Parts: sequence; C-alpha cells; structure tokens
Amino acid sequence: MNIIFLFLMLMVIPWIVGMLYTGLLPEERRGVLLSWGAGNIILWGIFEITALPLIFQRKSLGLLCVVYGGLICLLVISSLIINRRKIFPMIKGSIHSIKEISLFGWMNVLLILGQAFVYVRYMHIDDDDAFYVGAASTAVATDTIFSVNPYTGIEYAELPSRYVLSPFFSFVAFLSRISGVHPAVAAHVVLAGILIVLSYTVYALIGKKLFPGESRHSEYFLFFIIMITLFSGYTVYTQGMFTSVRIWQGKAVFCGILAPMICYMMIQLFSGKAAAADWIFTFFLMCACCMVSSMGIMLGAIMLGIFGLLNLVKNRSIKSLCCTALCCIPNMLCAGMYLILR
Amino acid sequence: MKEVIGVSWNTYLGFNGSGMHMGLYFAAVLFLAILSRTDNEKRNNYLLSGYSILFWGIFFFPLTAKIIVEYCIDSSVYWRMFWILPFPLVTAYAFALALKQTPSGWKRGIFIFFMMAVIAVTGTSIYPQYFSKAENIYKIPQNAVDVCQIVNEDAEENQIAERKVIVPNELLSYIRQYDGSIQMPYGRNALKNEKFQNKNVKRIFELMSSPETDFEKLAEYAKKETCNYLVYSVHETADKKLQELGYERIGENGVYCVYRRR
Repeated sequence: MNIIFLFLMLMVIPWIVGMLYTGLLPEERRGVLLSWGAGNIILWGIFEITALPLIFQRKSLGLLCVVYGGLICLLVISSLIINRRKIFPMIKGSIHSIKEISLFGWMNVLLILGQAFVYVRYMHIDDDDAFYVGAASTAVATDTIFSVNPYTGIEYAELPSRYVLSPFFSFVAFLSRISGVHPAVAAHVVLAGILIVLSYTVYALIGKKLFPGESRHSEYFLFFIIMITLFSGYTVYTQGMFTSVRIWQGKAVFCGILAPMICYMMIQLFSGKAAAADWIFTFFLMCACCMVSSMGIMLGAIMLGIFGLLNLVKNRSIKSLCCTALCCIPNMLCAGMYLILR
Repeated sequence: MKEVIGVSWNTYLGFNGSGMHMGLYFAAVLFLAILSRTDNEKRNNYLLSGYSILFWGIFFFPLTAKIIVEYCIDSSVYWRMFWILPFPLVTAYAFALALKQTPSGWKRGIFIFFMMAVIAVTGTSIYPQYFSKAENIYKIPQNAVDVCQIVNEDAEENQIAERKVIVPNELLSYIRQYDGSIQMPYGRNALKNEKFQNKNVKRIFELMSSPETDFEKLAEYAKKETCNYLVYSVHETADKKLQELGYERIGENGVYCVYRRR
C-alpha cells in the first residue's frame, strides 16, 4: 500500500509543482509531460538548496523532512491556487494528445513500460549500492544525513567531500521516511520504475521540440532513442546502460534524465523564443545536476558552457550569455566548496 | 601532453568497446547538414553539430582535458565525459529526419526495420544478462536479508541495542542496504582497498579473506573491536571451533551460520 502511495506521490506532486513553471509559458508549450518532468527537476533543485545547509550543520533527517516537506506543501498549494484555471485545459489538451497517438506511438509506450516492468519485476545487483542505498538506509535508521559512514555505520570524523555536495540518497531517505517504504524498495522498485519513464519523457519532449507539429516524426525519434538505449550494452559506460540497469543511482539520473533535459533546454533557449521562466528553470536544472551527482556539478556546467558559446556566436546575445553564466552559479559554488573540502 | 592525449584516446576506445554506435553518430552528424531543410532543422543542426565539434575539441585538446582530469573528474572516470555527448539524440534525430525523405507506406516500414536492424547489429542488447529473478522485494541477495533478520531477532530477544557484525566478504555490500542500524567493522570499502578504521579491523578483514581462517585470532580481534555478531559459511569444523571460543550459534539459513559472542 505504501509503495502505491509513493508511486502516486511521485506522479502527482511533481506535476503540480511543475505547473509553476509551465503555467508561465505560452499556452502551446504547456503540457502534462513537461509539467511532470520539470516538476521533478525543480523538486530536486530545491532539495539541493534545502539539504546542503542542513548537512553542513549536521542536522537530522527528521528536520530535513519537516523543512523540505513543508516547502513542497507550500509549492503544491501555491501552484494549485495560481494555476487553478489552467489545470483542466492542460489535462484536456493532454487527453486530446493521447487520442492522437498513432499505433507506432503506442508501441513506444509499450516498450517503455516494458523496461519499467523489468525494473520492478527483476533484480540487478550493483555493488555501488553499498554506498548509495546504504547511505539512504543509514540515514533512515540513524535519523542523520551524511553523518554516518554507509559502509560501516560508524560516525564520520569529517564529511565525505566527494559525496556530500550531491545528497541524492538523502532524497531517497526522505521518500522512504515520509512514505514508510524501505529505502532499498524505494530505490530499486519505486524510483527505478518512475525514473526510467521520466528519462523517456524527457526524450519525448525533445522529439516534440525537434519536430514541432509533426507528431509522427517525434514518435520515430523516440523509437530510435529506445532502440539505441536497448542496444547500448556494448560497454558498461554508456548512457543507455546506466539508464536501463541502475537508474536509481544519482549518476545515472544525471546521464539518463538531466543531461537530456539540458539538451531540451538548449534547443528551447537557442530557438530565440525563451521566456524568463525558461532561464529560471535552467537554474533549477543546474541545482538538480549538483544534487544528483558530483559529476553533475562539473558536467552540467560544461554542457551549459558549450551552449553559451554556441548561442553567443549564432545569436550574438550578451544577455543570453549572462543568463547562461548566472544559471551556472550553483555549479560554481559547489565546485568551489568541493575544492575547499577535498 | 602526450600522456593527456593518450588518456583521452584510450578513454574513447574504452567507451566505444565492441560497439559501433559511435560510428553511427559520426555518420549522423555528417548527414544532419544534408538532411536539414527547414529553418528549424537548420537551427537544430547548427546547435547539435556545433555542440559535437566543441565537445570533441574539449575532450581531446590537451589543456582542457588536463584541467578536467586534474580538477573536475579523475582520469579513471574521464569516460563519463561521454555522458554529455548527446550521441543517442543526434543519431535518433538523423534517423528520424531521414524518414522524412522517405514516402510513407510500406517503403517507410522497410526503412524503419532496416534502421532498427542497423542499431541492433552495431550494438549489444542490454537484456537479459544484467538482470536476474528478484529474490525479494528489496532486490538484494536473500542471504543478506536472512542474516540480518537472524541478528535482529536475537538482539531483540536479548535486548542488545548495538549490533556490530562481521560477515563474509560476499555479503559486505548488502547487509547495510537492508538494515542501516547494523554496524560493521568494515564494509565494501575493504574490497575497494580503501583505508581501514584501524589495524585490528584490517586484520579481521585479512582473516575473513583467508581460505584457512585462524579463529582464535579472529575472536581476539573481534572482541577488541566490540563485534558481538559473526557470520560464517556453514562449516562443521568452523562451527565447533567458534563455539569453543565463546560464540553461540543463534541461527542459520542453510548457507551461513550466525553466531553471537557470549
């Protein structure tokens, strides 16, 4: 029962929070998928901003749950009030879009749900979980965040610089604490099932952006993405491998969800039709990159940096370059802290 | 400089492995320019191709590669740079664009099938080798769950608050995933050759890794480290010896015996 509650919570709450972003966009860009995807990312970004000060002050997981949970409630209520007139048209629009999905599109849906089913039904043993899931279990059992070594259960003398800036597994601990679902189940079953769908959702959004008004071709695009992912087992390093095998780990979230989302935002921002909300969302996207993995701190900034250069050359907009640089502030701060801590 | 270029090149080869998806990606980048017709497509082409060129420049240029390897990510994980190369996106985009030039109907169907075959032949399927039937809802080995449950039941029965357990190396990664309140003298960090808490802990790990365990020494170091539980493979001689040394057998699951120090 708790597992179903957690599944539902991860489907509904991000969608409502995401409307705070999509509600500010022109009507043709609003949609349930973008709201849900963006909502997840905004929530991760806010988690980074909330959790880091508490981690450095060695506060408890309980306090983190109260502060972060309170913030989520506030966001949900605000979104429901602000977007009260937009919710039903958005749902209506999405139902209309569902009706337009071709047989080929439904095949894509089946393939994606099939991958989610594999995650839920089968097991992949990954030794890195000794740290990641161990950290979540430890946090829940000891009511601490990053104060205790996940390998041994013995208190850290000093904070682990490599991991402390990216508390993704404190987020898993948060989910586990509020839902009552065991951290290993929350990671290996619930998050795995949800995140694989989220990964393809981002690619579906990219497809829509690459082929505006050509739903058939965006379906082809998504189909080829699914195929490339399914056949990316030629080494253990590929994005497809991380997405299909261990998406519940923060680094896999970066390469399977956040890096494609940066690409989505690059295409949007590059089109010259960027709204102010897009830049604000990109800022949260960078916060989310920092939250999920220490790799995300550096790699997220490199991605946006490359985009900034391309945008400057093509559109000659100093304003866009400044906005890009401002979006990278979370990465710069985390990188600075990392260099001090290590 | 040669060294950095060598690291970049070897990283590229390692990432590519036995697959040829990178070849598809290079072809896709070239074809994007030809396939892009509308303004939107041309703009996307500029962005994706430009991004690709800058990425490879950063990846192979010795100065940027050195900065990234030294200050951002370690050389052993330099391959993670490829995570920000959107090669699945570029390849899929080129394929979908190519379909635009094909008339709809059965010809397009054949073209899609051909493209699917190309992706399959140049790659390797992820399923089924990386997955197995789940042993439990936690998706961790059942032996680890059994061991934790035996320890916890005994601790509850005997009102023991702190449980510090020594386990065989094959269980090191899973015990604390199941129960974060159980302590261990060392965990997976030992298998990764990371620093031990002290010399006693290192000796315990060495004894547990040895094919012929010296149980007397193991019991001595375990006592020093206040480890009150010990898990060992089901073994008649080991069982007898451990009971002689003051360990009480509190349970087993057919593969492992669990002992508590009296």
